[in-house]
Amino acid sequence: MIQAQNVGFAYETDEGLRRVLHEVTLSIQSGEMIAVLGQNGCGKSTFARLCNALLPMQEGKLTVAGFDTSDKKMTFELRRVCGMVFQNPDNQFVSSVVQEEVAFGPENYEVPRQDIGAIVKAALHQVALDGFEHRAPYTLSGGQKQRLAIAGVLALSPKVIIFDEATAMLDPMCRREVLAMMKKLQAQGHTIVMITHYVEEAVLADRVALMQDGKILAFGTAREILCDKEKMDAAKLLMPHAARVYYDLLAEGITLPMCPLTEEELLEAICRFN
Amino acid sequence: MQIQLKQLCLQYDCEGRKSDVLQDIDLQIGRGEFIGIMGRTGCGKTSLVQLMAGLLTPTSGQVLIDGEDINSRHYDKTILRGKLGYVFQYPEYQLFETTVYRDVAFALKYSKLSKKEVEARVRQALEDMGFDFAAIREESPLALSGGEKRRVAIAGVLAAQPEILILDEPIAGLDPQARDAFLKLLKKLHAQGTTILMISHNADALADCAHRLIVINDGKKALDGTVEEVFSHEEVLSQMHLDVSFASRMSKKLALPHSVTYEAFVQNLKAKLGGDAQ
Ligand SMILES: Nc1ncnc2c1ncn2[C@@H]1O[C@H](COP(=O)(O)OP(=O)(O)OP(=O)(O)O)[C@@H](O)[C@H]1O
Ligand SMILES: Nc1ncnc2c1ncn2[C@@H]1O[C@H](COP(=O)(O)OP(=O)(O)O)[C@@H](O)[C@H]1O
Ligand SMILES: [Mg+2]
Ligand SMILES: [Mg+2]
Repeated sequence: MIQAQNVGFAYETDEGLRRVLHEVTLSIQSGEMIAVLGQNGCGKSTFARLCNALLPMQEGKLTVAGFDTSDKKMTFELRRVCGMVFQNPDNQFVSSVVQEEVAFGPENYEVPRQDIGAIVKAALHQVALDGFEHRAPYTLSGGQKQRLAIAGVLALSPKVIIFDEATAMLDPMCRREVLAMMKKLQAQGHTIVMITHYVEEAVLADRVALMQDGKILAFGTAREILCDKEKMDAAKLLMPHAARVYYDLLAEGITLPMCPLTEEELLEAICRFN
Repeated sequence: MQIQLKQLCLQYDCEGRKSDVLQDIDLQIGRGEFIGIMGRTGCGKTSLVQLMAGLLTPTSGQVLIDGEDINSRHYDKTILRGKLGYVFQYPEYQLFETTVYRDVAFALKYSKLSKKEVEARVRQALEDMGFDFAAIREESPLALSGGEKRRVAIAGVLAAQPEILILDEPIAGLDPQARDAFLKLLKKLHAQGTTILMISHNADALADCAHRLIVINDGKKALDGTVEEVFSHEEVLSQMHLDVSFASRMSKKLALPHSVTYEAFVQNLKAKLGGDAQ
């Protein structure tokens, strides 16, 4: 669904070119849920912006849902099949009323008028914003705005949805709802890419990409990557709590029967140790 | 008491309908406290701290800072600006200068500091936020990643060395290393006497550095106590959409002595497993 071959990118700044992506190569299958982890400034959002042509391609080849992202004639179509929920939802609001905000995408893509009402209602329901139809987006709290932004993307039911830290401002319950929703969308056949700083969220992904300094450092199943202390250290990240406990005990000469990824697995491992 | 809230109420006007955002909040915050504020999305946390900072005016009730009502007609709000630093929930909106240096120095514009002192403060604040001063100073704030922008914006508030520091979800968007470094910095500032109020959904971070937790639910103060006390009400918190810290949750499940920080939990677990092994 997403194929990147030696993708490179440099921003133009006053002090000249700043290279931020180096030969990024990866392949994401249709229907997968991928997590991207990495330090601030390592290039996650830059890669995401290339995927739906918010930034122009410079180097290498990137195809998303069959569209070549460097083909400028197809940009409009590409953005429909590859939706994005940004780090900061305020940046993507264009309307002064919630329901118009959600209707904006479908209208833009000339979805028949009579269908739009139902689409908007369903999208708002999916993010638990029923009853907010007539509110102004700016009056919503941070978390509510994030959910509205997600509804706006869902209204186009894109094949690929990239969540760029879309859960960063949500309370734990809303966060779980959104994550469950990502899972549900995945089950419906959408391909999900989530960029996050919450390693506990990455546990839910099928595969995890670790980025560092504009390169892909490792790409593998959540277990392969998140329980690998060496790799996580190299990317300057922290393992999930459960795995950290395993290594902290190991350092004291206590060896649990397995390296757990989740809290449930940690409980099980401790149980089996006893 | 450094900050006192008396019978504080706030209503927003929503298409002619009034909605109660905060109701009858009474709160006393002493000098040098480190307080975490939790609450589900939309419960009124941001509104609460904006009232404390004088960024919103209450519908009724009072906000007293160092004994003075900040909404009284006679109160000089420049005093407040001198002692209180406020990091917005989306602080990157506050970035508008052409270089990172000028942005961070902005808060010191009207201070009586010399150019040299300003530079020293800016350097310190940026280094505290994990930047290489020489490399970042001439960058345009717009050319930074999301997390970097947030860190620059926080540096701008820190440079003014406020007595009271209010932080609205400051660690959302920071990578784990930047987050831990930042929490360490907050602990240092607290040890030096700064009063800190931090809104966060991250129970682990709050357990790590706050001494007292205030939980807001549906516009009211629901819980107020030490982190240990508040996290002992796991069920109540979960009804309010909130989690306790990893350590708190796990120590309960494993019937270990209740601990809220990761370090304490691992110690207790080691003692238990090490003991069992012998
Ligand atoms: N418009 C721009 N002009 C110049 N440089 C930029 C621009 N946007 C980002 N950069 C730089 O490119 C690098 C990668 O930024 P990017 O936003 O992709 O990081 P990120 O991995 O998403 O980080 P974060 O976790 O903080 O969101 C950073 O060093 C950043 O400073
Ligand atoms: N300017 C405003 N006008 C009307 N309602 C608002 C405004 N700002 C916030 N609200 C509403 O007030 C409530 C509390 O918001 P906020 O303090 O931002 O919550 P939190 O920070 O806890 O997420 C929310 O229901 C939000 O929708
Ligand atoms: Mg980013
Ligand atoms: Mg808020």
